[in-house]
Amino acid sequence: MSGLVRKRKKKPERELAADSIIDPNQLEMFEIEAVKKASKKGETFLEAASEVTIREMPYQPLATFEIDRSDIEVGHANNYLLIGFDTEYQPLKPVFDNRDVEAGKALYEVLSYQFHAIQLNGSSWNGMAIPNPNQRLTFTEFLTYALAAGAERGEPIPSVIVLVGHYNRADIPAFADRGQVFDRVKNVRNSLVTQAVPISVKMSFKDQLGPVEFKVYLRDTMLLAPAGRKSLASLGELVGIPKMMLHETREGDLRLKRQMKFVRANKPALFREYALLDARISAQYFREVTRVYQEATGAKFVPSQLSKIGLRILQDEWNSRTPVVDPVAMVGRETQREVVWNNKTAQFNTKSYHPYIEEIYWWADFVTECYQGGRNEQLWFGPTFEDDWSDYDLKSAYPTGMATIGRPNWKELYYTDDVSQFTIDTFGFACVDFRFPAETRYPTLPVRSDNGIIFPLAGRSYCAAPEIQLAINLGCDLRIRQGVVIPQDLSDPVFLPFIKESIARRNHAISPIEKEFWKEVTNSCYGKTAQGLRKKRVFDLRTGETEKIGPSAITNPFFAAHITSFVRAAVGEIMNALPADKMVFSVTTDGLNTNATEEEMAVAKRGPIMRHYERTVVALTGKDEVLTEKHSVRQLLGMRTRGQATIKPGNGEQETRYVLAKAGVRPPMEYREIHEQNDYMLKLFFGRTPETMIDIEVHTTMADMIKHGADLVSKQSRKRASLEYDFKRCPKAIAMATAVLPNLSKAEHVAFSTKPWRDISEFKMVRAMWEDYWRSGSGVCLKTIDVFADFAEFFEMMKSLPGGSKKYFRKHDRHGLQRLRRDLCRAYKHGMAGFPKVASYTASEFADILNSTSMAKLGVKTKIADVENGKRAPFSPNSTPPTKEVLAVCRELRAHFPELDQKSLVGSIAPDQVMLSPALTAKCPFVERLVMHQEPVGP
Amino acid sequence: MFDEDKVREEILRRTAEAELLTGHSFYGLRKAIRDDGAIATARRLIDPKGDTKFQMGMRELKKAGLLRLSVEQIIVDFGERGEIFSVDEVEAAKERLAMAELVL
Repeated sequence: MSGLVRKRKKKPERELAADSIIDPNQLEMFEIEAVKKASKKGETFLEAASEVTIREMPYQPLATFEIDRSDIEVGHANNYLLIGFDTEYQPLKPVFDNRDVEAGKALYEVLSYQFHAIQLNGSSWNGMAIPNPNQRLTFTEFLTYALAAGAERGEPIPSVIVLVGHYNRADIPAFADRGQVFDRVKNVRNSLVTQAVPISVKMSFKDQLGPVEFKVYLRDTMLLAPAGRKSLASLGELVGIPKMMLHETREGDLRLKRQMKFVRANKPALFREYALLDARISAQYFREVTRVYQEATGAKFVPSQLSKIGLRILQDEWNSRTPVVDPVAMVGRETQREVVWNNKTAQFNTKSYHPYIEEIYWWADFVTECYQGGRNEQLWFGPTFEDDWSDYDLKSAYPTGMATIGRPNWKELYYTDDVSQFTIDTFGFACVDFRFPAETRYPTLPVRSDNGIIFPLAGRSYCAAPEIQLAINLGCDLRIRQGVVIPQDLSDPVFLPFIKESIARRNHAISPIEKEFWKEVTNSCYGKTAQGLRKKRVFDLRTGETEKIGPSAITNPFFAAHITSFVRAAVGEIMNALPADKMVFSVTTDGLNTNATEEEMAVAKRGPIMRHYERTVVALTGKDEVLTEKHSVRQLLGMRTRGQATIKPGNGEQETRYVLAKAGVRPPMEYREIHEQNDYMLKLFFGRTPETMIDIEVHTTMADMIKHGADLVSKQSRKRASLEYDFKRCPKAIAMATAVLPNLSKAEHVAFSTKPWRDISEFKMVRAMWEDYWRSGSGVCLKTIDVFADFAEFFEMMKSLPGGSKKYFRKHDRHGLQRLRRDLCRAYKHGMAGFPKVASYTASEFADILNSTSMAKLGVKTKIADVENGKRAPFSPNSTPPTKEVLAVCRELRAHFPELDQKSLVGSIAPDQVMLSPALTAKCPFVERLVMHQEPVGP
Repeated sequence: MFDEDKVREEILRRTAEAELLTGHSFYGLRKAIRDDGAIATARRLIDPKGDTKFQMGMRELKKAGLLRLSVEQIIVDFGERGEIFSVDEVEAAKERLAMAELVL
């Protein structure tokens, strides 16, 4: 049976769409459009036979499985059969590369297909199919097998099937007719699911009475798994089915799992038991999530993602209010209908959609600009001094931010440039020009750049009321350029009742799965307010193109901008409330790492924003706990944003003794434990060179599967290790540090504290020069003071030149002498920069004079042709950088040309321009602590 | 001596020792060597695309702690001396030996 496709007879659009959707309420806006598009194309179906021949165990004979028409219960919309499914496979080689992928060789050998079916009444059965060597089953053969195996046990078979796998993009390619399945499913965060339109499978019988249609909904438990518990083993724990070990040792177990073909051939019973277990976990987990969802909402059919479940429960809560809240109006939208002519059906259709109301529409783009991500910064580079460094996280940051929003009166939105209108209780958004006091350690207004948001001392920020209030509290001079405020009724909060209820349910939950369910429902809802606001894209399986992710039913830039601003303001307030002798090492969205003590943190969290935060937490949970301490260590290594490791661990539990963020590096598989991964990162960082490459092992992408027919296998590529400082803040004071690593070896490395940039242009300039120009050209890593000093000199040299003069500056002309030679020859030939109007020396004599200076000793010699060429181009003043070598040559030349005008030759740095070299001599108490306490480096 | 002869001689020598120590007859292996040649037989045995089910002889060797007498070990021994078998073939043979330890 090959799963052929036939065109279904066209039906009117509306009838078709209504037929296909189990619960239209769970559709996102963009999905409704997708349903309509799919319906317009005309629905297609897969064809299945009622009989299939399967080998259930290796080296055993084939058996025939058959289902009879009378076994099928058609038309019971609320009755469905749940089938957990899985495949075992072995890649044809351990790791592929991009060439293999493009050549269509990135494939695995399918070893088995297995299922675990559960009826709504709890009755269950399972089965495993072994394909012939180098052959694959079709999707429909597998389905027929699972259904017929049940029918043969006397089970009635519903015509609605929910087929659920875990990370099913690994398994779907195992079907011979995978292309047919890809055409009917959607790629949601790398999982394959059907949304509104199920896969239609028509099964034919020997009686020739016409086919029976099955509607197959594809689900992935990965999308229903809570954050941090995405593995099948974790889901197994939640439903009380631990994953199996194939060998008593961990190494043996891992090795066998990589060589399942040997297990299948030599331990078939063990293979079967193991294979069936994964399908069972998927089915059982889905069943449990469905149960919890049904208890919460009364709805029969669980949405495809946990985040959608939160959305549904939120909307239910709105609907349950008195008077009832219209979920569309709540998010500033309205329902509009228009009658359109449909050429295909030759009739009028009524089309409904939900645009923003006018008042919102006018401001939506502006407020979307005000929506920024989390605050992520590395505020120290290199090894720190020893101290008690602790990671503190705001408890339930985003849900708390959501809970602060009162019911907006969207129609009463008003424009204002009055700063006093923006308080912690305001639902307001603005573009502001700002300047923090020069001594502010941690400015708090975000400015967007290509490298994330930066927090400079001055500039222009698109932000929201909480951050404006905080900035004013910190003494910031601030002017609203454009501002908008939406009056809100704080006695009627938008999200608080839903979040409060979810937290209460979580606290009262008995089973671990219910606890995780409610935790995820609470936490995932924020993302839905921001969905589609940024240009996030997803690979579309039908078109083979990447497409923009559309909005959710509660997407609203006002909500998203306020929530994120509130969280950044809370973190920013704590940072600025720390005592002067304590510092922030890193910030990651809703948490920070600091050497402040618990007592100091208790004081730091008493500011007005954090008190508001605390009041909201109390309203949600009844408790006043706002911060949680995650890790505590003695000495840290700062690399870049989201790049930290531990040099000296703390004394707590293994998991809390290390701070580790791997800056996008994935340590090789053999580094499993956190301390092993930490040691790997330390070794990589201290041992890095500009040529250090890291192997990256990733899975083949959806695009690889569609475009090159790849299966889900590992592919390897190499990239440069990116562990240098990202310059999100300006180096303040620098020193060499000695770190004693866990293996007791000593490593010397530069370390520096940081201060805020004065404005975004400083950051952009330094970052661009470091990445694009200097680092790639000079081939160095920022490991020593000398490298930093060289970069600082180069940066300041380049800064001294007028715009056009930078363009053709040679990267290897580190002292600027080649540029000086060029400009001296030009000035001499044109009688400028103090040279006589009529040349007093021949070209040969002038070249000899230049060659008698230190310029020649430093390798820059002048030929007669260089002098002659000087007349071909005009002299540009101030195009030579003022390096000490250039200035020395100028001094020497005055013996021959007393009138030489050095000022017109060399550039100069304006007094207010950014400089990096002051960091070489600047004082900083934290850097002094580092220097004071470290041991001298021995042999 | 040709490579084929070297491998055949080694396989037959170890097979004879294995038969003596286990009492199991390696008739199938001898026949394969006679029909297809020693190197071809050895290579077929470790082909990752081939059947991964261990034959009775290998099971007997494992049971008796005599995997050193297996064809896989012969491939490793030759290959590690830089003779006859490639690095990939040595790796495949080692993988089979490791698997034999784990699944038999």
